[in-house]
Amino acid sequence: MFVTGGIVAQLVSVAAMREAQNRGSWAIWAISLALFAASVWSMSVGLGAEIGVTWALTTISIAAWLLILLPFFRAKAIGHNRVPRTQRRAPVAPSGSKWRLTVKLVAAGPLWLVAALGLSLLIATKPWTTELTRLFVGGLSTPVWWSIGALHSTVDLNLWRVVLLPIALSLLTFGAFYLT
Amino acid sequence: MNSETPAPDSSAPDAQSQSSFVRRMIDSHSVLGLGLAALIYIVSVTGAFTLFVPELHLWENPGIATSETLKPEIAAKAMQNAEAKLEPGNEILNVILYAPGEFQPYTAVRLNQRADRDSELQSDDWIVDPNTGELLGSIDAPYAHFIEDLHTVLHLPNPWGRYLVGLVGVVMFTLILSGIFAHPTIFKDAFKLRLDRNARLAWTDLHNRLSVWGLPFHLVLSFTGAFLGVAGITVSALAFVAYGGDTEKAISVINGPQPILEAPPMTASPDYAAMLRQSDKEGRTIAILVANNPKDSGQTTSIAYAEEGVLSMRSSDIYRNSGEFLEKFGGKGSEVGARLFGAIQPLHYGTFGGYPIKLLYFVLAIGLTYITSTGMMIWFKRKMQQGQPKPKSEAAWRGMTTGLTFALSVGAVLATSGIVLPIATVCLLVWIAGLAAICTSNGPLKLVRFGWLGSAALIGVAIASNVLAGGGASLVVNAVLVGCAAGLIAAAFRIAPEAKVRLEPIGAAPQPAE
Repeated sequence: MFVTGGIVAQLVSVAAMREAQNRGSWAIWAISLALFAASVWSMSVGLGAEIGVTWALTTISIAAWLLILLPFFRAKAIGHNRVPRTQRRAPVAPSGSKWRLTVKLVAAGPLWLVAALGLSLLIATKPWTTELTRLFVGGLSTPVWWSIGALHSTVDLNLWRVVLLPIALSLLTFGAFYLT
Repeated sequence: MNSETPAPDSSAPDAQSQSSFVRRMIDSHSVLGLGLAALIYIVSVTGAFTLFVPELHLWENPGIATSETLKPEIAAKAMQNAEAKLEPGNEILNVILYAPGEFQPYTAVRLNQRADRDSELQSDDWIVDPNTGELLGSIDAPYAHFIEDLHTVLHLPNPWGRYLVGLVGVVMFTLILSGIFAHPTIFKDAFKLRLDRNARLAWTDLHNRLSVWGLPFHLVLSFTGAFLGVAGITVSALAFVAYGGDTEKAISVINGPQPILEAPPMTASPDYAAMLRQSDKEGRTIAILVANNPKDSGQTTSIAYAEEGVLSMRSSDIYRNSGEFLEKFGGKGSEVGARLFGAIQPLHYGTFGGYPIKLLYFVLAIGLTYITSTGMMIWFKRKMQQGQPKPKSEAAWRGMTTGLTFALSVGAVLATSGIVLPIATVCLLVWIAGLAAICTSNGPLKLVRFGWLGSAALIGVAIASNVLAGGGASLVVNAVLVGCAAGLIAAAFRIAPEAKVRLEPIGAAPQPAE
């Protein structure tokens, strides 16, 4: 019952959010957020906090898709192919030439993997909590550091910074591990 | 996620710098997305079906003796029977019993053995008679293995396939981050879906709405997937540095009590029934029993179970093989790190909420697959509108995706019809043939439509074969497949004809602001 109630609250919450945006009403926004909070609470009561929150974050996506994608299922085609001439220009990609892109991808891949491992190593080995938690949190954080680093590498226009940042971070973290 | 690039406004420096930032984010999103789109698509679509691997085992073996519960004595008997299958001269690594559960209504047992430390691991699986504990036939589920292997290792050699899938997870996580930063009007546009506008804009809206509203799932899935994929590298590397290369020591910290070396051999099998009775408490559902070398009294036997209200699936009671209870590891009351780690698998495979969550995960995973496709559609439409159409690339993309769908459908028929062919090889060949046919065709979209309708028909044949073979216990798999077939038919009838860009003269009827 708590789960079903939570899902219904989420559907109403997303519908209210859309209405709030159409009308520009902060009051409806607040109601929508309150409904979402109520759905999380309801599921947590029914399933326990850990599983309830996870359920709520899963079902909110489906609730929103159900409401938003209705026109998609009704549409006969996705868009048309008439284009104003003014939109025919092709912008130059900031990633630039092939060798430049290659350097960026090398930094985003192996260089940031090493840097991410260095950061994880500090988390896993420096005594900030119990050994078990340190090891798990250290290991779990590697993909996050790697992703953030890969994003930086592919976004930063300064090629020196792209290459030197992961190298410097690796030297710093592995240095800190061995020296302290 | 993708955003339409706002036109730079030289009179507003802030707007210009934001525009540059957004453009660089979109560029990063495009570079990484285009570079790994095919792999992301393959991992996503097979991931959706990997959710049902336990059910697929049953689907491929419709005659399996099912049961919902298992008595401790029967479980003990099955373990002993598996131990007795040890080949002379081999050493036994472990015996694993998979108790019946919601997703797998049968009992199975696995024996892992090898000739010596340098030999390859030999694994044998059997179905267990739920009334006697006797070992029935071995489980043969090549279709389930094909799908699972494609998702977890891309059918590449170990460990490179797993690492590549891990890299795909990392890239997906990066794509999510760049997608968020590339979308400064993420809240304002939360409900924008302009399907009647020009195709690039319509596909962009669809891509963004699916991505933004699926964000919690996408973050969780890509993070857990990345971790599962690169865990081999990270754990080894961390252990190498932190424990001076001693990987086993690192694993011992993670896995709890370790064996006592040179302990006397067991005179009989461990008392599994007593252990199971001791661990079977209210609020627990026993899932797996793992006996590490049951002939060694210094080794351990673990009983893993799900606990009510806890996400972690790594709660386990650990016993010495001689019978002594050692400790409870993970789950309720354990350390944060252990609980986080234990939550990775349930979060990735959606096993924490029964079939409702599993089915929602399936829909979300198919949605993620579609997001990948919409991302490619945006690029194809953009190139076409810019006067640089990429028909060969588009045909290759459609060939790859349709070929995979057709190959999976052929595999489903082989798995249920009793035709004895190597499913993995046939599926890979069909996939390549589909890709080649669509790539070289003069009318690729006609072939795509044919491929989708053909796939739907093959799925129908597979379902019919399963039902006729008495696959009454495979209702979920059949229902999911019916949904897939219906989706393919609907998509086939809606697929747009070959598109040609029609340029509107400057000053033509203005469109509403984008």
